[in-house]
Amino acid sequence: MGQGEHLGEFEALVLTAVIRVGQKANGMAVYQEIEERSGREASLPAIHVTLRRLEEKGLLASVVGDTSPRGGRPRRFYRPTPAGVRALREFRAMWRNVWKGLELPDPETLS
Amino acid sequence: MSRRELRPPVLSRRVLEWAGRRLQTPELADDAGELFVARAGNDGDRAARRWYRRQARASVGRVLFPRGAQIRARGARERLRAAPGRWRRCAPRHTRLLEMIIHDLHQAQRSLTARPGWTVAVLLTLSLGIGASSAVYSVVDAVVLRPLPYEEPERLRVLTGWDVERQRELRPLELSYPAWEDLRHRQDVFERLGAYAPTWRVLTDGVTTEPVSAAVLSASMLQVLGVEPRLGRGFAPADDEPGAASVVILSHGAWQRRFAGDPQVLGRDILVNHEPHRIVGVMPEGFAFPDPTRELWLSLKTLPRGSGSFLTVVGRLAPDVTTERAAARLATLEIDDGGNRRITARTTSLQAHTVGDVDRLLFLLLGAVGVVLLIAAVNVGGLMMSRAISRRAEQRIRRALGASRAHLARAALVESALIAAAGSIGGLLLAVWFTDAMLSLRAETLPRQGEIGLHPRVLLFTGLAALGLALAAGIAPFLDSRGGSGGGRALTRARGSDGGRVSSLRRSAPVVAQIALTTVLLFGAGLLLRSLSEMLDLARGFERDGVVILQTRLPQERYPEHADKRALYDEIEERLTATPAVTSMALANRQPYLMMRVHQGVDVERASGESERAVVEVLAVSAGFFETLRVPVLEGRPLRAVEPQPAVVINRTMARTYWPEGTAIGQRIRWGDGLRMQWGDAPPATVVGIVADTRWGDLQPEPAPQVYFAYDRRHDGDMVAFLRVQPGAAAEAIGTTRALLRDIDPGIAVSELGTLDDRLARQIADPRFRGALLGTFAVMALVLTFFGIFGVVWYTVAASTRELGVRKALGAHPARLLSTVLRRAGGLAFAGVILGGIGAWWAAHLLDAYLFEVRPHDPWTFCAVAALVAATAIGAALPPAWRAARVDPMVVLDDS
Repeated sequence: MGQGEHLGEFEALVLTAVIRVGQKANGMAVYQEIEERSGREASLPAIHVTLRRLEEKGLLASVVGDTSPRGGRPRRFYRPTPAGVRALREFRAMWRNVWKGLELPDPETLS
Repeated sequence: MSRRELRPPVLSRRVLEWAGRRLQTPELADDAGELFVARAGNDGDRAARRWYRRQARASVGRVLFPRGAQIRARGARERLRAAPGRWRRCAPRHTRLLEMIIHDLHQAQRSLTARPGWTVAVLLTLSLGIGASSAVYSVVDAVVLRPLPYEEPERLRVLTGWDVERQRELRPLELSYPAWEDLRHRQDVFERLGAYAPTWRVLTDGVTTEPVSAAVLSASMLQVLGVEPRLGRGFAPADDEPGAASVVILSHGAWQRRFAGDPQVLGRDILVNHEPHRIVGVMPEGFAFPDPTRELWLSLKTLPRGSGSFLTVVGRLAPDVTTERAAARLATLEIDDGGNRRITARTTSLQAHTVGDVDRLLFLLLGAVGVVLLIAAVNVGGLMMSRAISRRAEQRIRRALGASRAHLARAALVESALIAAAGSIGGLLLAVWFTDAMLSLRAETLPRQGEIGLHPRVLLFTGLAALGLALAAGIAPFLDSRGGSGGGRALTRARGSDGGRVSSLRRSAPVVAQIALTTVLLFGAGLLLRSLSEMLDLARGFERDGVVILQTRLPQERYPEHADKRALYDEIEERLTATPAVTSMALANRQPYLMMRVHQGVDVERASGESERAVVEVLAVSAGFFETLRVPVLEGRPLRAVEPQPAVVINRTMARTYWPEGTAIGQRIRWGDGLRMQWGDAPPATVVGIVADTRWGDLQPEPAPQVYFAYDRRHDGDMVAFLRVQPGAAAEAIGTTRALLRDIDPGIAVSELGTLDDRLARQIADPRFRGALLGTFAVMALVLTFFGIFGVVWYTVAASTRELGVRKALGAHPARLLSTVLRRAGGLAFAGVILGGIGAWWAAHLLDAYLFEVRPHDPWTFCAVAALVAATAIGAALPPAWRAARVDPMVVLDDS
């Protein structure tokens, strides 16, 4: 967290998805990736807003690609910046530390 | 599944496009569309559509609540703070409900402030309706509905005399002293009997002497009521005995005002009618028996024991005796009152006796204010309905985005609850103010007024009224939200051109009802106000402006003879007219407006030597009377201070009645038998002047024949002084007079000192109270109806803008459009006035008892009311009609 940038859970989720999808990372692909991995229905507007915010924070870079086959406006593709990858590493390290040696209690025993 | 069907819902698509622009994520809609196609392939068309709508809804949330997360977090923090010292936990379901309500409230507040005009109209309507009805209810509740503040008040009965032979009530209704003594010892149905007699006394404390309202109580009276004094004791049977020491009990008010609430007041002596009385007790606050004006209570010993003394007898029924059994027993118990009449007693409840016939008037007012509340409810419902109609498009969008009907209904209810809460707060503030205003109108004659206030029952009433209005208001849009299930049509309808679809009956019926109800109220108010103005009209004849009236009670031992009184008044006159405020002073033997005509017989001498008996109003006045009161002298001259021969002045009615031909001047009048008995024999008096008619004793339409004779000639004790004061100097003159009297003799008690206008106002307090209240309600109703008509016509015009534009484009003249709208409003007004007229015709008999010189079905009042209502309706329709005439066809056509 060089610049004091702190990743939120959803931001980390979106950033990871961008890295996983790789070259063809646009909003739609990220959505599908997240839905597949998390098993939950995500919010497309939330993903778009987060992509834009991550870009504003300098953790993602984007480029406008060729006109898409669907005939709409050209697509915007994303890739992580070095700062983005660093932030994600920090995030992973933090959570590894957090989980190290942790036994979760049985929820049924807590009334 | 063909390609054609694989298109996302169009409305949601537009929402996503809009959200993409707002969120600066332009690809949102494209991506969603592509994902939709993919989903449709995997999960089927329906599931894909649902998914698409969910995404659109989520995008609206993103746009509307960019800080939604923070708001939620803040809400959670506040909830957590609520339980100190324990394990804090938020129940998840509870959290969600609270969150939803906070969200709904937030949204309601935003949607209300977005339409300030509409919100102000609704709040004003609600506040007026709730305020006026709560105020009247608080009076009705305190005066009529709430039981008297005594122990088991339902067992208290008042006994009145019944003449067995004539089968009618005795006059006066009270029982004589011997009857009370007899009844007290022989009756067996009451646990105990008490008696009281209202009276008044002159109280001297320190420097001033003033008349105070008092009551004589039997020793048993307080026990019958079940009330204990706050300090000291009540009267004991020994206090009733003729030789007992003089004792007095103070009211809480008198104790506070005159003795500053001094706890050591017991055992002190005060001068009552210039005689020392020992204070033995102080009553608790709120004890107002028999009415709130009483400042002291005296024991029965002060009342002469003969048959000329009258008492109101109150009994507490024995535990096992019913009202019916008591009545049956009393009907057979003949009372010996020392006379030879056969008398029994009948009973009425103390409550009915205390309240008198005020309850009829109050229920009438409650009915009138109920009409105002009804109009307010109709108005609020109408406003809500018109808003719901104009918000249809919004509701449809929300339905299309997946908001459930329950959710929309909840939002509507939260919104109307918010309005109702704000409206009832406004209403309560208005109620406080309005109750004060009502009491100031009728400060003296309303029984039990000390108990009037914002009692919990009044608050309950206000709450129920507000709740009813909120439900009525909330249901209207809820009913309407059913209409918006088809999402696809929503946007094309969002421009508000569906006015034609709304049943016109549904919108005009409430307006017609309002107009009808207002007509009824206005008609009633018009009748009462006409009665009042008739009364005021009759109170003329002399100039009331700038006249101060002064009446005193003189200590008898210091002014035993008439000459002593006259000397005192001469001194008062001399010193008062020397002050700058007072220009002249005159005396008369009676106050005006006592609402009774004192008729006395005089004999008119005829040329033939015979005499004719005339029944006239006789007044004794001093020389300056006609000048001071500005009574025009029509013929002859006024009375002089010194008349060589006995002289009288008569009024015009007298002159016309008894000397229809020729002049009355120089004719002679003799006292009749009654006057001779009162004042002794006197030589006949010559008529020296004729003055204009005045209404002195009462306010009857036909003037009485009057005879004025010079005050010096004879007297009948009392004197009333009239001071003509400089314009605007009435208050100064009153102060000067009070100081002067104290200076001349501190033992003089002032029983009346105020302007003649105030005197008249007090006399007509009841008709004024009725007229002012019903008039206020009628005006409220009219104002509410004005806004009701305005709102409906405005909405109709707004909804048919397109139609009007098309008509104009096709060549319709603006004047024609104007008249179309006005004709519609006129039609509503006509229907309302007709219906209202029928209602008024029927309701007029309720007012019969309160009318003076006006018939209940007075056609002039009715025509005036109809004209006023019609003018109001047209006036309310004029601004929207003007707007209709000025519709720009281009705007309408562009819009489509």
